[in-house]
Amino acid sequence: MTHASLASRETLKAQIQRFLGPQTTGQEHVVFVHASPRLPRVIAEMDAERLTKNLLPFSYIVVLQPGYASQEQLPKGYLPMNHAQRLLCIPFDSAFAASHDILQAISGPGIRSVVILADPLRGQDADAHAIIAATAIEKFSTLQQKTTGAPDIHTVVELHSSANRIYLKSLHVDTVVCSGELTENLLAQDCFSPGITEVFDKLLHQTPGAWHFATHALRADGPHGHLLGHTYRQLTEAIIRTHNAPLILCGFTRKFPYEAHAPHLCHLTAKKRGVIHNDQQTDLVVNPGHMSRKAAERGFLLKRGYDKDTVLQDQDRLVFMTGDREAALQCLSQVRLDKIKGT
Amino acid sequence: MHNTLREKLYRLLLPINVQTRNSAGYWLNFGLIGLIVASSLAILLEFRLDIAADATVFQCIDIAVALVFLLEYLARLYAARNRRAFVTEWISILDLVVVISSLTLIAMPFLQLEAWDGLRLIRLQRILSIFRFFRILRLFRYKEIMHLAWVRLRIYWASLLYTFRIPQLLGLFVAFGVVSFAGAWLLYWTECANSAVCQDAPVFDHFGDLGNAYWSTLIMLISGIEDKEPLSIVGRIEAVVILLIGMILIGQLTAQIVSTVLVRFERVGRIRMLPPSTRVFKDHILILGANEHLDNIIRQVWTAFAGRRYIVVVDPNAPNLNITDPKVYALVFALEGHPSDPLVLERAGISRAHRAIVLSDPTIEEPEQQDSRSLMIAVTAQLAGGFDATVDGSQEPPFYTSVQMNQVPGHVAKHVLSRTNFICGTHIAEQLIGQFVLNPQASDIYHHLTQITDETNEIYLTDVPQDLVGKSFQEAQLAFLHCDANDITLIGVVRTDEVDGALQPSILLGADANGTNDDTAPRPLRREDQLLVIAYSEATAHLESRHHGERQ
Repeated sequence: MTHASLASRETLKAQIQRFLGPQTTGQEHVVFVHASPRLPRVIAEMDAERLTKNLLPFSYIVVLQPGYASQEQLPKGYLPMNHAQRLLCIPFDSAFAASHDILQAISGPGIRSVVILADPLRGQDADAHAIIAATAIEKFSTLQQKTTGAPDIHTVVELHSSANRIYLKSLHVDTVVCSGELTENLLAQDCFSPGITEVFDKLLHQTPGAWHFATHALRADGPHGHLLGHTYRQLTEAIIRTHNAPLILCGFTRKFPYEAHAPHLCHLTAKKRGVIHNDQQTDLVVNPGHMSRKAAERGFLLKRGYDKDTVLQDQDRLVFMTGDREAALQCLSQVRLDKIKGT
Repeated sequence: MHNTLREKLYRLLLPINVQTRNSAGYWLNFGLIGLIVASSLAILLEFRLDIAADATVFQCIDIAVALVFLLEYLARLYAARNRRAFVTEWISILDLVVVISSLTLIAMPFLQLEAWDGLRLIRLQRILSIFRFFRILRLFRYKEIMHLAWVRLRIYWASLLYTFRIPQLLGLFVAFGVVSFAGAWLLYWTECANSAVCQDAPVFDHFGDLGNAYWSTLIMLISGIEDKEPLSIVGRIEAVVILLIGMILIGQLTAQIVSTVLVRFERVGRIRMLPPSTRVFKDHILILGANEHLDNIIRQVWTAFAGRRYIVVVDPNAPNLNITDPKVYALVFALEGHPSDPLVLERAGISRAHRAIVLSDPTIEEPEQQDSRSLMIAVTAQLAGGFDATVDGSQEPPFYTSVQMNQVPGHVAKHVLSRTNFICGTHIAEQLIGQFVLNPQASDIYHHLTQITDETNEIYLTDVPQDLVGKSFQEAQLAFLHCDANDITLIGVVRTDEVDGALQPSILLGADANGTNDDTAPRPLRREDQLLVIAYSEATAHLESRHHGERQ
């Protein structure tokens, strides 16, 4: 299903609404800004994951880059084949960033994420356009949150250069993927641990039962409330002692109010401008222990330190590796901590 | 073992090698080496000089050094993971002999040795004095760091010679010396021979004296302005020749100095060029090609190896590569030349390299062509590095190569190039985007794990510690969980199995690493397996392996 020409705004909105269907279907969709040779492969990865979980595949809306009124004009390989029923291409509209009516239409209740891909036709300027699009979406999302109480739109931005990350920092964009930075990091990592790229490839490739990183929030009133009050070490030991446990605990995240720490300039600036209204920051603690030791070695007495004996609290998120998230959560709810030493 | 004083002491006293990150330990090791060398020199001085006046000074130094050595020995004994093994090591026995002999010599005046006759006492003193000399042998304990320092000194010296063109300058100075000396003698002989004919010419007296002749020749060579001239025709011809040679030599010398100074000014902020004598380079990282990723890769490699490995960048544009942080670029050299030229690679010390990284050529526009060029450079690097796939017994290249690719290469490339890893950032980025949409919270984790900094963890491959060989994956996990000396999370195993007559490594993550299902027993870890661990530094990951090995 494609939008062949620049129709009137109302027609376009109606077309989007028709494509997304009634809100009650529970159909989720992902919005891509800019078509790219990477788009078919990203969609294939997502479809593979949905398939392994026996979930309905996503629908996809692709906002074409300026200068392309329809998908037929795009270079070959920029869009996936055989997705006609689940893919809607809409032309870039100058109102996309200025007014919010189109954005409102595409960000229905089933929106899962907005993925802003680097425009391959813009070369070195691609990052600038991706940042502008991200700004427009984040502003719209914040406005929606304030006015209607709608949830924040999850935004993923692809950048070429890691130097441009700084521009997105104050916007509170959820995720920035920088292919250049990844190349640099992986080349250096491969240098001292040859073959490590294959591990990442294995962790990231979506196949049934493939192990990957996941997180899960602990809540006092949730099914895993009984884990609260125990230490990370106790929980890890209990999981390891479970026969063929479907998860490996790797760490946890903990939220902290910003006011408790040194002023976070980017955050404060963004908050002042009304772009975000999130008052918490999160500490990611992978492989707990080293942070506190390094802090102590360097004499940073004020730095928060976590180790294996840190007690898990309400709202903490467990970071784990699993091949089956549902099985992992079930294992967590059944894990017995009473026989672990020190419990 | 918990993070106790004993553990801290153990880490502090560990011998330094190229992977060590503990800067306190680094300086302590250097301090102890300095003390050993200085105290050995002091003993030599004690014998060489008349020390009657300074006997107390030397005695005080000796007491202080002996006490430091005693403290060091006791600290090592206390911190040793296996004290019995420590005591029976030959280097520990040597330490003890040195300490005891020094302390006994110091204590002799206070001991009741009246019963001993003078001869026996003198013999004992001599034997103990000889044992004191053995302290120089204690340097064997620090052989790794000393070798490291020696290599660094040689590279520094080679770089200094190259940067300031010292061999060329020395050559010119030698030529200058030879010409001035030969010229002075020639003028002296010529003028003396002529003065024998014309006895009445007093001016001949000037060049008739060798000292005057030498002084005048020097002035003629350097400035050409000399008011004393030879009077004989032959002497004058010789003076003209000396003047001409002087113009050439001084011109060359001035040009060399000026150009060195100019080049130094021009190269401020640029990467140092690799000196021609590169045989001293060993276990360095070679970066073949340069593009926009170069700076960040150098930074990451610098962090990963704690700034202790040399990096050589080979690129046609090498003289123009800039330094962004002098600290990070302190051990980085650039070599001008194309990375696909085997002679250039040989100059870069490819056969002695630790790893090679091939970067895409930014001058080529098409990504496919960039990849083809990168593959060709990787093949050339392996061939130049001494790998010959056609010869039996050299199936593996001497070093690993990481190649930056725009597209995932086919099986042919992977098959032809062994010990080569292809890094396709865009491919990983595509997978990450998919992962982040489906699992938004995971983005920080992957970002954390792919970055190399002192504050973040990375995934490492490390050998199976000796005491975990034969244990199950689950038991290994528990062992790592309860070992707080170094924080490591075991996440998988790389097992190498024989498939169709060939060894095939397979990555097994999580419970898959147990190598079992509900009915069979877990597969034990083997020596040839490798563990996949999350650790905050490579040294930590390997230290833990060593720690387990020592406990055994």
